[in-house]
Amino acid sequence: MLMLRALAYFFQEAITSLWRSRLVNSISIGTIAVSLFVLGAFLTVAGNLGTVVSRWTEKIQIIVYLEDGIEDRVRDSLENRLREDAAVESIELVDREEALARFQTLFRDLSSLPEDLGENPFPASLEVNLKPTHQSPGEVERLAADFTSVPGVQEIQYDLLWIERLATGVRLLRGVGAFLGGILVLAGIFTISNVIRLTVYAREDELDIMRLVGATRAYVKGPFVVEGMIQGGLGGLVAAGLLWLALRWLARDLASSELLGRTAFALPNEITVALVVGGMVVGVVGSLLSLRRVRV
Amino acid sequence: MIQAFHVYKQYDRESMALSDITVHVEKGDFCFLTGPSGAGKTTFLKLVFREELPSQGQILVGGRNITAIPDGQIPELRRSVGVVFQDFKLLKRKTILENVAFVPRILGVPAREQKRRAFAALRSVGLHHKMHAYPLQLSGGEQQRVAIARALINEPMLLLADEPTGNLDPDMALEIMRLFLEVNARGTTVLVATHDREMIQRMGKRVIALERGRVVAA
Repeated sequence: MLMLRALAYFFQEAITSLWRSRLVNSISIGTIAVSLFVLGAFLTVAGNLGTVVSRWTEKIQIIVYLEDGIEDRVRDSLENRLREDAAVESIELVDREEALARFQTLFRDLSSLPEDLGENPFPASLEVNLKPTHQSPGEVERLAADFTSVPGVQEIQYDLLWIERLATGVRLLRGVGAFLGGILVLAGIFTISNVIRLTVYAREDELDIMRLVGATRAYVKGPFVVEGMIQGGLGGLVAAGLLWLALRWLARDLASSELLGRTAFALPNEITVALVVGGMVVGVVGSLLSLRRVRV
Repeated sequence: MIQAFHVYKQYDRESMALSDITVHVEKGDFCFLTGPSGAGKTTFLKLVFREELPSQGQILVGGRNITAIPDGQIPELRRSVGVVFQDFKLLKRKTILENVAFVPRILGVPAREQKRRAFAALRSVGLHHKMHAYPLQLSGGEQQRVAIARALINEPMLLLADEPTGNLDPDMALEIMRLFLEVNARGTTVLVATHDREMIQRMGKRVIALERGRVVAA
């Protein structure tokens, strides 16, 4: 009961104080919001791109192009060797006619190309799908190296390099985001701590009286800590709102991009929660910093 | 009630605020602490409610050695000691009822009880009919009575007053002194710091005189 009354007192005092100097407080809420928005934006984009990359990684295929006029015996032995490899899940044979048909469905405008050339330019191939447990860049490279010089193989192709580059890009994005966000969060802590310090100065009389009549440390400091927490939490909420709006706007413009899909522009709930909770933590740290020198 | 043994207080190297103070104030006493400005009256009061620690020596309040209590127990000590200042220290944005109720409020007393106690305290200083007024709407004497009501709300064993009549005209000052006498008659020990010699003579109570940080008469 005493605890509840104390909390009620902290919140009443904090809200009154926030309202009383609403201009200054909006500035510190704004600072927190901007910092958390930047951090959140980087995390969201990096997170979403990460998902896309891993979805693509799941589809990593190795395409083994076969030599022209390969003998059935050689092809069978190649297929068997591939099937025996621990990393291989399945193999699909795409013969020259099917390769041509695929090309013609994908690129309607160029469907007359083979006729113009007078022959079918597409080689037959084996599409190799990897087991989920073996879908790593290392495994793909190993497999490719093992089979390049096997008889009947003309060329091995895999879309690994740019996926790897993208993954590096995502890691970089996350790093830059964490760095920038970290600096901005520090700025946020600094701002809140200074704004609260102003409040502390403005209410010094009250604090003096509180100490004189025997208020405990918690009662003297509690309202300020709650005030910082509310400021930070509101900042986080504003940041989440801005991020949601920004992502919606992006999604509208880029919705047609099949490659990325809509998921790339969703705001995960965890990020929203993290922004609000993070804001609160920033606020509490800020106000505790400004209260260090308050005597009790 | 107050026992000070060889108390020294030094704020900086050059000057000693208090030197070798040994005084006793009995339970139920009414006592003046006097001396010119800078004699150490305020410093001594600050030591008694543990706003400051002595540089040397021991002070017992109500039998407890307050120079040795841990920080966590200071609030408890302060609840048993009421303090009144020359500048009243009232919160201008709050009504006088809220000012007085502020004490039970920050001690976690339920809202209804806060009001009941604050009203009773205001009645004891004769200001209950103005409870919704703000401090600046009252005269200096009335504001000081509000401050006294606030100091008394916890029913302290000891009431300290630092120049409580310094800002008041003689009639109001006398009124405040009468109030202190009443408080004292109900059993609270009262220690009033003042340099108003006329007032002291008129009251005919025990006087502890300080000069340059030393007790010159007790």
